[in-house]
Amino acid sequence: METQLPVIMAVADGHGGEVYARSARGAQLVVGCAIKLLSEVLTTLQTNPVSYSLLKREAEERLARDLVQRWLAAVDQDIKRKPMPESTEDARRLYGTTLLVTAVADEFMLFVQIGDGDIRIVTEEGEVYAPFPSENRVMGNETYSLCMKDVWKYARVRFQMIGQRPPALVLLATDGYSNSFSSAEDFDRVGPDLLGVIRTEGVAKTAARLAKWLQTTSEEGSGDDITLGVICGLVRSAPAGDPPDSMAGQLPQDQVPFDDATADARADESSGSCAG
Amino acid sequence: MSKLRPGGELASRPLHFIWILDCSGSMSGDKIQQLNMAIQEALPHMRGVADENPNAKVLIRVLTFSSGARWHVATPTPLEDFKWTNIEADGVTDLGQGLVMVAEQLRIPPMESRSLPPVLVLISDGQPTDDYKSGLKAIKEQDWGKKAVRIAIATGGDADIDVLAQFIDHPEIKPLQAMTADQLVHYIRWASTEVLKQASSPASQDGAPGSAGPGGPGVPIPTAQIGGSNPSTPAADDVW
Repeated sequence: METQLPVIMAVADGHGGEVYARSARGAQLVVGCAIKLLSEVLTTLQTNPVSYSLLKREAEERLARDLVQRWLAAVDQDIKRKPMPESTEDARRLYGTTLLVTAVADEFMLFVQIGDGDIRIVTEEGEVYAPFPSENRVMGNETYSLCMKDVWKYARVRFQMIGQRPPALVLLATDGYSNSFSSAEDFDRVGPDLLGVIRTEGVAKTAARLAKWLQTTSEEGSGDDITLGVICGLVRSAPAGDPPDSMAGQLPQDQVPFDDATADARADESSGSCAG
Repeated sequence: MSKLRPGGELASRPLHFIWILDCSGSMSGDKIQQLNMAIQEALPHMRGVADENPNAKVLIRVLTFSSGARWHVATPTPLEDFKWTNIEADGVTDLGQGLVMVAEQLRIPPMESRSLPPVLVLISDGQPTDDYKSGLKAIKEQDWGKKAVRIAIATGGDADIDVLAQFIDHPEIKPLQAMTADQLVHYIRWASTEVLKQASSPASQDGAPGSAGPGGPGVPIPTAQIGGSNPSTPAADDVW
């Protein structure tokens, strides 16, 4: 089964611990908000197309702020349902989380990152690249968080056009994954290795082995939780009667969600509501 | 691809633990003897803490400062291989130069961005005799300097507590003041075990206060208790 575009995936990493006691909920809420917002953007584009340069500018100027505002509203609703003695600002802190989002459409890809974690894109030829360079602002267990004041200013947003073919694989991973590897180059081998296994064994078998792989990686590496989202088998939506042009010679494939805090556009939205 | 999993070589995360020790002339005699003994005695306890978290690779270094500064142990040494060699005291108190040398080692490279926050433990008994502010500035200009867990222990009543507080630069962590040998042993044990334990915990570990997030790892605040009971007023002869 192919994964027809567009696809949206979001991965969030709640900070955990006593200080961020509701961060699992915060992560759930931000995933829901991100998917809903990006879905609205893509739907609006279908009915009201704009130039890609305008879309790029709008995304870079407004997307992160809109996303953060929706999350704050969702958190405030959650706090009303389950009140606590802290002030609103202090209560929001309990929900602290990071966020990685990607939306892949026929002609472009959009990425948003708030806080730590990694996004990697693997081409059909097995080349790996990152939409965002690594930054030293987030390291050592310290990270930007949705709960920080004006954090949208520190969000990273990237809009890029797709060339002839969609990427073969996109992966979103929380920082526990890359922190488990000896070097950035060792981590960058994950994407091509996964693609190789998917191509030889298929998505279902790969998915069945993934939890064990991640557990081994954590035990021998960072010791931290790992959440991984993978999109593969992307096929451009084509006019009726035209065959897809990227699947020749490949085994049937599908996207692979792996954790409660990941989702894709065609699954039901996470159980948290998202205001706005 | 490895038959076991995707990706290349795995590794635990480095945790650099750096002792920054005052070896000026005023530390000579009982103070330097107690300092040597306290660090030597802390090592098995540090190893015990490190064994509880194999995902952090603890690497020890020691810098001493008196007239000038020098690396007593320059190479980051795995805790399991680290052996303490006694230090001696003589000279003035060039803290600033020592901090500049530490700051140079906090650059990336040689530090790695995937490391855990380093732990810097400064022990001093007096007033700096050089431009210590430049040293503090050098530390804070490095990303790892800003993110380091910084602890300071004053030995005796003549230490400049304000300078030590500037080194720590944290609203909730104050310099510890060791007025007796027992207190020095207690505080060194705490810095090398409780602080190490906190700094080496994975961000998502249950019960780890602070954890990941905007503020980074929390640091447990030491108590004044020794051996589980409140210390009685030490005898005059025991106080530095």
